[in-house]
Amino acid sequence: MKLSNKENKIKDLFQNDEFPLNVDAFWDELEPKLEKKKKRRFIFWFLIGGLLLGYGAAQFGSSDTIEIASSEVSKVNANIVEKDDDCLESEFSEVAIDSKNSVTKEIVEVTPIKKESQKEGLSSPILYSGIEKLSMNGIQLEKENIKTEVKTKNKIVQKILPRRNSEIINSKLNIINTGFLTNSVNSNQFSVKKPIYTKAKVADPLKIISKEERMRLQKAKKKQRMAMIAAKKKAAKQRKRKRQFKRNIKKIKKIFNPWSTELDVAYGIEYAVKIMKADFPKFEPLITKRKKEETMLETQFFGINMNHKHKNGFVFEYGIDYRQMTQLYEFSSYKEREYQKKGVTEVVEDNFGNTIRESYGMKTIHETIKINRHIYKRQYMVNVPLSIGYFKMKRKYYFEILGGVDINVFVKRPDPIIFAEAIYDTPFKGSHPVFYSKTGIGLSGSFKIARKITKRLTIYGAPYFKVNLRPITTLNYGLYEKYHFVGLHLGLKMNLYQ
Amino acid sequence: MKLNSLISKAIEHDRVAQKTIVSQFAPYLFAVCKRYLSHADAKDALQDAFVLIFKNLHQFNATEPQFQYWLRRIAVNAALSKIRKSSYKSELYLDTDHLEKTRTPKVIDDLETQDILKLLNLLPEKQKQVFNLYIIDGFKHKEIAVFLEITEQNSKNLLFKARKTMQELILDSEKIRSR
Repeated sequence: MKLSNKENKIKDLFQNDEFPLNVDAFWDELEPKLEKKKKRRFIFWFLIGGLLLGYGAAQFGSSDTIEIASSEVSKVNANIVEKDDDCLESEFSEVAIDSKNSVTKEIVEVTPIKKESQKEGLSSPILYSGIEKLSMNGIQLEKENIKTEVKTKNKIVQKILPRRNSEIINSKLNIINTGFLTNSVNSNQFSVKKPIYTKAKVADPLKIISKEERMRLQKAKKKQRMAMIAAKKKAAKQRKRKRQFKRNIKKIKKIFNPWSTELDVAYGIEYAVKIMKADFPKFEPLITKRKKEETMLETQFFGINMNHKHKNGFVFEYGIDYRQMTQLYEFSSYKEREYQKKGVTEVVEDNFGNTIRESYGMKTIHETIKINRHIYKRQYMVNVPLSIGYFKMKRKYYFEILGGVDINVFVKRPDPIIFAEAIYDTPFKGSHPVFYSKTGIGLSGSFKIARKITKRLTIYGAPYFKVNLRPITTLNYGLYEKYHFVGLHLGLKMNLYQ
Repeated sequence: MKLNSLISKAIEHDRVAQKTIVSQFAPYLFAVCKRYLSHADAKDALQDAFVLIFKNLHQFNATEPQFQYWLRRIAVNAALSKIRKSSYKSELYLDTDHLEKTRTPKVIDDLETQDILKLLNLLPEKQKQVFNLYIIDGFKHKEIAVFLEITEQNSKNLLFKARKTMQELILDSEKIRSR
């Protein structure tokens, strides 16, 4: 089969092809998207109103009437209408150009029109036709306001004029097209002459205002706008002044108050150096034993401090810190037991070591069992550090050296550690505690290397040491136990006041 | 109700008249859209098309066949706009079952047509669109150029290529069938 035949077949196939569609459902979806019917009642009532006004004016103005034949009247009016029409035609374009984006109202023409019948000596009407042309946003509306001093039957005039006017509206007002469809209608396939369809958008009569009124409103609006702008500017100025004032206050404060305050939060890992001594010689074997048994593990530190700095470099710091030490105890305990067992009780040998005789019976056996235990114990401390020092700032970095006292306010140590072998049961219970509940003063020092990360935040690292002056054991106890700390603290400082 | 009076009423935004037009032409236009788009997208395109139709109906004044042609143009344009917007990979969406029901057997041998449509789907995108627009919808190159935003000569070239490819494809398929 040739391709052209195939093509024709395909074309035939699709020529009037339909695909079933639920029209009702489709319509329900489509309807909200469609344009709504435009209300044209305003035009109607506007024209009716215009007519009535015109009629009333004509009735009021026509005091004396001249009766003429009705056929002549209609002829005369036809002429009048033509003249009016010309007038409208000529003026219409100008108004349309002028009134693209604004509301305008013009009295186009108010002229007495003399009729041919006057020349002929007939009693003819003298018309004053005033046509107000209005437009809004490029859509024109013509409001007819006919003042007639008619010496004939006015009602005929008024019947004709609105009709003509509406024709003008229909023929002249905008035609709204869209790009594609305009092209499509203009394209070659339509041989039918394209009629002119008109679609007049009419301004809301309620919104039509006089030129003076409009100008007045515009002026008022402009004034209001200017006032608003001025108010905004004023407010902005005030805000700026306030900001400036705050900055100045800060500067002044800085001059008179050279101190800056920082909140310092730090975490650190430390190593506790454990020192043990025997107060009495009898305890020395015990100390030796304990040194073997007890291993110091890591110590963790967490502290919050307030740091006050003077611009000259002087620093003092105070706060509170918490320290927790972990120790491993490896206890070895021994258990002995004795029991009877059947077996060889006696062996008799000769000089050469050969067994001559063996005696059997019950024998006593002594056993010693070694028990190893691993216990992790923690010791908690709460301290109040008070330090003074000096700092030096260098660009974003600063160095701070601090030294002071670290007052221990609380220490908690699990008691039964050294009683694991139940050696010191009785003498230290009750009124004679083994450990102090607070160890008192220690000396501390650190060297902070800090770097600013934002305007307010600073991070730092600080090698740290603390030497406790007092042991944690009481004098009642024959052992002397003391801890010193060495570690590295990492912290974050937040500037609270500068 | 005559079409002209329907149109004039629809211009006045008479919902009854508009619905009548929709019910009369929607299945036809839906079939047109469906040739370019999937079912759901075709429905969207059809909605767009009807919105455009009622918006611009006042520009139309001709007889019924021309009206149908006018509607078809709008529907095709709506479908192509949809493709352009979503860079749609169009296929010839053809409900063959439906065709079998609605077509009279005398018009065409269905099987062959289906084969051709399958072959059409093998064409490159633009060639397929041009083929579809020119052969099936009967648009001129000038119009196709506007639709697809290409030059007229380009449209001709694409059609030539499409035809050539189709020729080869048909010959191949006939050879296979003869075996």
